[in-house]
Amino acid sequence: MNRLKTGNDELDAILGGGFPSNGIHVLMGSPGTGKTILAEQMCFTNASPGRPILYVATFSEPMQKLVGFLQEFGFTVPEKLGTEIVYEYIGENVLTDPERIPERFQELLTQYRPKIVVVDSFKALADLMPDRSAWRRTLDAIGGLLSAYDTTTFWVGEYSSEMLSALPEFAVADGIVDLVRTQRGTRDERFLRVLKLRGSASLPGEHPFHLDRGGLQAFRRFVTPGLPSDYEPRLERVRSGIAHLDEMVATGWLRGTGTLVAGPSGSGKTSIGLHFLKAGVEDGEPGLLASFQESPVQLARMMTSLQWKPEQMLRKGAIDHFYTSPVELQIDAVAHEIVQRIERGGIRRVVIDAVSDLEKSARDALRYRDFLYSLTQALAVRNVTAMLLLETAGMLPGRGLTGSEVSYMSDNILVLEMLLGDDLTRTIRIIKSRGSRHDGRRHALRIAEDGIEVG
Amino acid sequence: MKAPRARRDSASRPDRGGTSLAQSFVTDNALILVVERDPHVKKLERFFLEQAGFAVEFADGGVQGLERAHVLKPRIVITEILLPGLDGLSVCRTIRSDPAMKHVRVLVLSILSAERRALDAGADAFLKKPLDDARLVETVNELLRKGSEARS
Repeated sequence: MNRLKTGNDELDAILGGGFPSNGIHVLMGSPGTGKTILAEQMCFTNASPGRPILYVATFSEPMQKLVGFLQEFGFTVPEKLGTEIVYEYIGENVLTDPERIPERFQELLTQYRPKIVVVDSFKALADLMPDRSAWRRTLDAIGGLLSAYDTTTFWVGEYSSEMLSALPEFAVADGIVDLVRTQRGTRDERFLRVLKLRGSASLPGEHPFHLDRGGLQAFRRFVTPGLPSDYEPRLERVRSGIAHLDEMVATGWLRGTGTLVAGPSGSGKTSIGLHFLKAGVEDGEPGLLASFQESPVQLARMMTSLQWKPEQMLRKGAIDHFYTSPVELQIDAVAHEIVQRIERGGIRRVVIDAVSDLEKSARDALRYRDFLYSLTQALAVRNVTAMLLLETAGMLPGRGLTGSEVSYMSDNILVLEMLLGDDLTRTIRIIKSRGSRHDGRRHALRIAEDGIEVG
Repeated sequence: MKAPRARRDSASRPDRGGTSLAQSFVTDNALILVVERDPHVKKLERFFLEQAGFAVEFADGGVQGLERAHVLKPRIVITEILLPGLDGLSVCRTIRSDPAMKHVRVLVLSILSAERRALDAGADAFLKKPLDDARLVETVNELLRKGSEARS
């Protein structure tokens, strides 16, 4: 089956390779969700000399707006406008003689012989029809004509999900992609769903996307990976990099396992994570620090205070620092970035600082749990040893440890506490080490000038 | 402001086969009988074939198609396989076995991926829908050319 590329590799993958050619596809969503941007992005991606792409606008004064806003995007090639991508406005026909619309479409098809037809907004055609039966006749004629001809069609419209079962457009369509924008706090989140794609396997569920100058950038919903056929669990021990901590577990920390480090702010989580990565560097295991709190400047400062040389630690092949602000955090994008960096850089150890930031950015508790399970599995099947840092409220770990259901996904759990008396006392204890005897007593944790010590 | 438009004169626009429509084989208004029930396909076939200089007649089903073929003696019959009553492959076989229609060329244009079956039934060419106008006109011209050579 031939497919049309969307101009975004991730979206192509979601669609099973792209939109099937010769189909009629609906791009639906509320105003401002990115439908027109996606349609235009596809136009420029597929434009080439020969048969043009026909963009049919149904609203008044669309050309100035379209051409004006298009120039803001990196995918736009102005030379293609008017030659490889042609615009036609049929708003007047819709207003004066709506039932003549199919005839107008036939004129346009035979005039341009387009390889792609975009109708934006298709819903406007229905809205201006005198009655429902007139629209059904018109729809049948337009749909039949576009199906009969060797062209791929996109109907762009401000449809909502409630209209899916009520409007005949959706029965005619071969593919339906729903673009959704929701508000979370002060920020907007966008995701898309493939609701229908005849004769083609697409990835189910909500896939996040964002709009930027490059157009629409989607990210596949991060899902649990399959187990590779050559997967073998390793029984090798890895060092934590912290004196006396390794001896507290009978079999030590095993390669490919995940350790949850839970504690309040200031309890030493990030320092423990950095020691773990440093031990990896010393043992020839490249590491990745995914952090949503410490910027590169702050991280370098921390390393300097531990009397490490940041330029040595952060060099290529040592510790890769992936920093992204927690404000605009997109969890699926983060997961894909982590996996890509692991594969690109031969990463053997990963520290995520902190999973609590991922939880705040997840749409809901269920998605967070599924996501975190998928992420820990993605690390495990690659035999990557991981530390997940979890910030807990208060001086003692409480609800955060079990309430978010992170604990059962972890092979080991370290709990950090801060006791406030005349002095600040930090402690560490192992409360879980799957399949291994361990010392579950509380031990003093000291952050000295040259690193962490466990007493 | 209107957006710039593409050139509309079809004679100067390269078509998908790499030749312009104006360079099409000389058709001398050859008659083509189209056996097709889909009104949308019929509309498009009429437009593109007439624009290329052919005369076009239609039949809605296989039986009517054979009747009209006998009467009209078209140079080419274009038929869908899925037809009410007598199917397009039977139309094809009947034309092939009729000495009175030995010069009639048959093009099967179908929604089915059935090129082998069409050729086995005696079709001279097969095209899969949806309708690609450049390939249609190119194929019709090719059949006419072969037909002319065979007759001479």
